[in-house]
Amino acid sequence: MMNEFNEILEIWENQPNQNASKAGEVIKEAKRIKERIKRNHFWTKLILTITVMILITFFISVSVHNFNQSFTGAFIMVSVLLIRIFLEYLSWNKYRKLDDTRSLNMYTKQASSFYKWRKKIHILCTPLIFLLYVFGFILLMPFFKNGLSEGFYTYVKVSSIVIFIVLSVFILKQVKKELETLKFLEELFKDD
Amino acid sequence: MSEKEFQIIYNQHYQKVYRLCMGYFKGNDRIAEDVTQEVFIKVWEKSNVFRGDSHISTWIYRITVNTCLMYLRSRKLKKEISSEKFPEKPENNPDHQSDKEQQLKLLYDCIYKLDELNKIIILMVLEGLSYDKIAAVAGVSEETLRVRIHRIKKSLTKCVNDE
Repeated sequence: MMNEFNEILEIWENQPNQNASKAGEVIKEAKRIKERIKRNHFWTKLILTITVMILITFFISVSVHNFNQSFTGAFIMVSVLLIRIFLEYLSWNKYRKLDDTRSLNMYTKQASSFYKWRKKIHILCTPLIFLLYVFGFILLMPFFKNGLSEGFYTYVKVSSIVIFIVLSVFILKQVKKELETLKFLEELFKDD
Repeated sequence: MSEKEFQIIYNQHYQKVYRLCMGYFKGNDRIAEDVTQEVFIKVWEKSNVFRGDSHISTWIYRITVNTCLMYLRSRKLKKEISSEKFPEKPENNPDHQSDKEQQLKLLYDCIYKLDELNKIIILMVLEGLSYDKIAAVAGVSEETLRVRIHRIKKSLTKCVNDE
């Protein structure tokens, strides 16, 4: 058996070398990526802060004069959307903190615990957020009915159903993918 | 780490990292190049946290195997890799590719059939890493590793001979 494995080793050792790009180019790319992440971070934070401030101002000013069902609907939709964005931001930060300089075993444990946390979000928060979002939209329907022509109102109704179906399929696919990753990570060291 | 130090480390480890990635991704050079670049970007970015309590090559191999592991999570990539054409036996295919290339492709295919942990371990064996280094990269005991490596060698050899 050993002789045969030595033949495999020989095949491996005799494979042609790959032309490497220059180390300087890798450093440049690393700096470029770091800058891009910093810039994206800055703009994301700025846009989110402005959006939240505008929404808070809007809801406070509207609620003083006109607190009705449509307002509640819009408020629910915006609130759950912001919660979702916050959860994604938190997840992204947690994912970035996974330390891939640790051993494969340790890294796998860290990644598993990250995906277990994501699983909790998918089981508890995602359906609740989705249902509240749909509920908020339903509360807004009278507002659309009063303000839009009958044809356009039907269009809003039908298109929103299609959008919700597409959105739920997309979410389910994403959840399935993450659950598969968790399963894959958990099985990696199960025999040891 | 200064740029000069990085350059030395890069030149010393590039081929090793690239070969490991090629083995992991069934000889798909496009993916292997991307992942190798990602590994060295991480090496550069994280060089300030390298404490020197392990050898630099052990540290780089850790980053490499962890990056390879998570890179394959995309389904599209899995599909792309799985659809890589399986090579015919050298004697049945006398055209363009040399026997050595055919044998290497066959080896990639057999490595790809192993489970994830075995794949990573055997790639490090093929790269000539000592058992204590492999144990440090994988995070398993040397004793467990020895038993595993014996089994993997047997199954890889069988696969290469049978295909």
